Amino acid sequence: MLILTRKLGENIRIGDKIKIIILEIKGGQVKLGIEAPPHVAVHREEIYERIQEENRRASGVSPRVLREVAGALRAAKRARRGEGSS
Amino acid sequence: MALRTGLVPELPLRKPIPPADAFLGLGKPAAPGPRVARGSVGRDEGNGMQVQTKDWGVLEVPEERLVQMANGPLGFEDLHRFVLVEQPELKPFLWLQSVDDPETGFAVAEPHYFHSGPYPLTLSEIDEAMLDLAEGDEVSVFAIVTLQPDGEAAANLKGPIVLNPRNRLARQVVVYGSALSVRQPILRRRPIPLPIVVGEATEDV
Repeated sequence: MLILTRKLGENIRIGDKIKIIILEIKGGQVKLGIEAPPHVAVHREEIYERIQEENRRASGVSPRVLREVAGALRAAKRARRGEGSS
Repeated sequence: MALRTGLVPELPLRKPIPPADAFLGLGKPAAPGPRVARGSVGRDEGNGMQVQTKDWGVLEVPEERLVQMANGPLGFEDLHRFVLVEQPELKPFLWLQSVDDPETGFAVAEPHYFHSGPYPLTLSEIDEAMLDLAEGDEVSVFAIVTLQPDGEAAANLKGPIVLNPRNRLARQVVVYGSALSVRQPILRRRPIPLPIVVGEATEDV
């Protein structure tokens, strides 16, 4: 791992198009500004962990529960249609 | 819509994507038991494979209908081959079944069922490369749905599965937008209490 020490207001460049700016250091927190092209994905690490956790929760749904909820969704849709037409 | 390189602006998901069956090739799963699903899809005597699943019996999967994920969904990175199963009684859900692990599958649905307005799909350079996106490709988007026996039902709008139907490559991506939730409730109120079956060995299909 490359380790760099930066002061407030100093930057890091990654390649030609990505710039990381140290905006604020307060308490135990660092505020970073990130300039990157829109097609470079920049996300907090936690979002990947949350999606991973959600995938685990989602895997292996029982077909019985799936059918029940599918039926409830279709019924809700029909009900909304009914309200709309009256 | 045609995809340009770079950002994919607000994919109009109201537009119907090809019926799942068109690229899934799986009208219905085969009945479990001795009857093999021969001919359930048709025209596939040569390169088909049979997948024994926990919940859906034996699926006859033509190889060209496989959904390939270089990295499986987050947390399931080792699973690379999937198949989408469509059944009328599951609508609006589809079932994304792992071929590598018969125990693993996900309920998915197009995000527009749970998200009003255009869905702000964004694809990174890596996403585009992994999907081998080319000019003119249209992608399909599926939100993974979590259903708990207590009636909780939620869709993951933050991390959808994106499929390129042309080459059947798929990838779970992360979409920008603080309004998009990993756990978006999809029922206004709790549905009728669902029967909880503890430790069932099999499910009737």
